[in-house]
Amino acid sequence: MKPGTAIKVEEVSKSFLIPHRISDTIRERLVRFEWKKKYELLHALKDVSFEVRQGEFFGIIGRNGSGKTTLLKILAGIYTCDQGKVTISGHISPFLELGVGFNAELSGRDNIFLNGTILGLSRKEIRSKFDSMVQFSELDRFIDQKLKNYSGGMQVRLAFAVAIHANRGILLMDEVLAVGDMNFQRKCIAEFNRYRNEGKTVVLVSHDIETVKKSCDRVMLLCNGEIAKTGPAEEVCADYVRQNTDHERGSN
Amino acid sequence: MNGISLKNNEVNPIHLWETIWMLAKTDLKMRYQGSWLGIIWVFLKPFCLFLVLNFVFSHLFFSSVPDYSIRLLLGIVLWSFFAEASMVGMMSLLAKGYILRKVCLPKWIVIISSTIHSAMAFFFNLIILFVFLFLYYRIFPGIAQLLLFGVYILLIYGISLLFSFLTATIQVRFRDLSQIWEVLLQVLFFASPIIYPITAVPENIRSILYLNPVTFLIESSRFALVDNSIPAFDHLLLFLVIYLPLLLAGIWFFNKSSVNVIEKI
Repeated sequence: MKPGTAIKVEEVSKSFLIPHRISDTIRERLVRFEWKKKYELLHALKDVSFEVRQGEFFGIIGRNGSGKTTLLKILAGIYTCDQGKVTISGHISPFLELGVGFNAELSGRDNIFLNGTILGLSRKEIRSKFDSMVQFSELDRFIDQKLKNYSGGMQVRLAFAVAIHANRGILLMDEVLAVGDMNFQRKCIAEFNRYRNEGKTVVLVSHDIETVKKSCDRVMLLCNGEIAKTGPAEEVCADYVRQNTDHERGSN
Repeated sequence: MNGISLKNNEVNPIHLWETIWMLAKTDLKMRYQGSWLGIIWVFLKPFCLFLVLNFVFSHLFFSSVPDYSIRLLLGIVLWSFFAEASMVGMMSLLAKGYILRKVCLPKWIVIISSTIHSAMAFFFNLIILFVFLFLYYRIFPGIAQLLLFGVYILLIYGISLLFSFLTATIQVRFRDLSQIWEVLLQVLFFASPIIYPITAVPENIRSILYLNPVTFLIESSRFALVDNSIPAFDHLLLFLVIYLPLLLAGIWFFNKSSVNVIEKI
């Protein structure tokens, strides 16, 4: 791998077996005598190759079901790919969802420790960053209340606050960029822009084309599991928008 | 080449342990908060069972067995540990699927963290057992016997883990496996020497009962704690020779079968 490359993906393919009829109990198998199940092969990713440089903001766009999340999950090591090779130099911080492991019955404080641990922070790190997390989330008055008493917005704020303190190295973000009310969204964006100055590598999956256009250096457009186009953000985003409007016109 | 290669992304054992502990602690909190009896439930379940069984069997069938009640209690406490740990271990991948689907964690840690809860409940029960043993029965096992009992406890935990490693990924594919296991556990409860001593079983079927690993561990524990004696080591050695490789095989099977299991959770 060339120096300066953060992520290198070579000819990665991933397919899922989707059973025609979901039977995930022994009883159903016995009752239906369906020992040979009928499957449909869904090619989620086909021969995908790309590189992300160190310090680059890399966007991935595409319609629902085009393989964006599958690709992120492979990068995060949650899925294994059927074929191909992924090389990553650096620590991966996956944010596929905000507040992974959050438990409604626990207090905000406990949830910070729980979520922080799951995201890879040590106990000591959480303790030292705790005040800063609470401050960022603006929830100091509610921190010892149960999460179930939080509003939806408060929960994402807490989750986001932990997430930004847990990041290191390469960030994988799946639609988790701007959350909460206007004020908080501004804070999130400011935080995100700071990563650029710090030289962090970010892989961003989003449907928010404007944000992608504004913040990403390069963008990759996925279409049915294949790379339709990779290039400068403006160009690829414009293509994507055109493609969508064409499709709309075609279907009307 | 398949798979993913990471540089500078080595797994930190201290953090792994912190994660296991954090998940276990959350389980514990979830289980006992919001119920006003709280932690007392840990004791109540096995002791209600004990009181009923003790009432029925110590008078009806086994009045001739010396110290029947404490033997029964020891059996129940050990059995509950195995039954619970094997059950939650089996369910753990599904129970913690909402985390495994979103972050990359070694999958075996959810099995350990889920069973830790059962282990803690077991230790609380042990305290009561020892109170009975010391104060009521005035039996004071020697250091060697206590150490040996510690080994048996580890082995029961090992057996529960072995079972969990073998079944957790299958449970993801066949969700009614846990229901089947629940029924089997009831059968095994009576097929293990819990409410009766192994000596009450005719010689020719005794060896069948010993196919159940819990049988050996319960009987040996009784011998060490209640009879305050040290059994011959050849049985323990044989047990280790059989189950240690099996445990390794279980871990191997789990690693092998859990590669793509996240997609199915």
